[in-house]
Amino acid sequence: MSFNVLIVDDSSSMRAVIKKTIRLSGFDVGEYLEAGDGREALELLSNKWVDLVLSDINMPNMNGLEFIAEMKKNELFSSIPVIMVTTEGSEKNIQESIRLGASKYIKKPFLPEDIKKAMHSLVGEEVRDVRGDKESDASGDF
Amino acid sequence: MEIVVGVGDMKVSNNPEAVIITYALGSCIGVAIYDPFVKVGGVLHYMLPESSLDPGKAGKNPFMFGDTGIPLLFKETYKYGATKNRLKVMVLGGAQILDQGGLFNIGNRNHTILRKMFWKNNVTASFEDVGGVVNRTLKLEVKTGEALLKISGNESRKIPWI
Amino acid sequence: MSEEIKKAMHQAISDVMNKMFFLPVQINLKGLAVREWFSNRHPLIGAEVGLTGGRLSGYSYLMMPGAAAREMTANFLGIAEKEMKATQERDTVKEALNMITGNMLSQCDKKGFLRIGIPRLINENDLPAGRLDAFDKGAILIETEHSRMAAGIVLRREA
Repeated sequence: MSFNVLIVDDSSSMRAVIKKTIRLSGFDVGEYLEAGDGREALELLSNKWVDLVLSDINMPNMNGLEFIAEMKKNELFSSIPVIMVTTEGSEKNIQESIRLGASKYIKKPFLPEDIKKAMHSLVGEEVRDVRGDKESDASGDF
Repeated sequence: MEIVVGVGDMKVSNNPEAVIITYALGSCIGVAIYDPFVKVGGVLHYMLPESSLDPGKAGKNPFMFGDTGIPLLFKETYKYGATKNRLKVMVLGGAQILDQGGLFNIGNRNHTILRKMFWKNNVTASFEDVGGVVNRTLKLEVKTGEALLKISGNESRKIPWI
Repeated sequence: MSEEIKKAMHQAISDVMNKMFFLPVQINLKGLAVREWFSNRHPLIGAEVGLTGGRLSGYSYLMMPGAAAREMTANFLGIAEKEMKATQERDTVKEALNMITGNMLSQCDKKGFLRIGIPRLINENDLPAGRLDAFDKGAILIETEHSRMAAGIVLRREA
């Protein structure tokens, strides 16, 4: 069953990398949504159905910790699982994220398997599209 | 029927009697791919990451290098009816045989070029066993896709990749 | 730069470049001036990010020739260089610095005493050859297979 993913990071390149990582991991994602900071992310959550959030911590306007705190206050979004994907690797930030309600914490730099494992534990087995991924087949050198 | 893949070599087969074998993957990388639908398997055993290190040699033997060998491995299996989205992929080797770091760590550089090419070409490995300070040997049975991995000093074990 | 921070920076640079950008690196220990390191490789592109915590303040930086930034970005996004936009290159250099700095702090500052700001591009006026001497103190010189980079961290304690 497909689901929608929201990626929150002020780096558009990093958002593209996370999106590609999730796609290559074989999860059946319906729609990818992107936000550059916590404020944008909250606005998207108010307008779109989201099943999973991946968020950085260090962002302008509203950082990831402030964002998750706001998310969890709102009944509409409080049950959406959040995976922090961030350079902030101190014990302090990890514990604070978990306390505020993050389900998983991934440190940058990460390997694709790190994201795959975290998502697998939250949303279940990946589903490979047996009809074939046209985009994957057509792109690249081979 | 054994088909041996030497160092700087690549073989593909759809012969149901064939077993493709490659030995002594130290800092080299062995890439095995298998399409379970058309029952085609292939193995590449490359020594060095980039052909720009020695374009003359790469011209004579593209299987010595990851950046030239990997595309050829995949494309050869397509000739037998394999498709990218069905291919299972296994990556072995890239050991750090001598105590070398940075740009001298050939095992790591060999693995990195593979990761880079897979990322660019939307390929994901089903199974990887890389790094360490060990030698690896692989046997791939074309009829079933069954793969046996032997790490130096240990018994062979079946790999759950199909 | 203390030995602990230097070692952590070396590890962070190697980890980040390998994992996210598929670039094996070697730290050059010859102690060259940054100007010499980048001779004939201009123009450069660079990023810096502020660090604050109690009475400590400073910044870390990363700089490289345009060609290195393009290679890094193409690798990061998994696309050909000709498909790239300049904004992606600038964004990638900032994100690389972000990850290197965060990774370094994870090793040296486990309690999270120092906070990382938002990375920004280094002013182009500070990057021509004549201006690079300002980056000499504690600069870490990095070799990749096809290019070079430099990174560093400057921390000051308020009196």
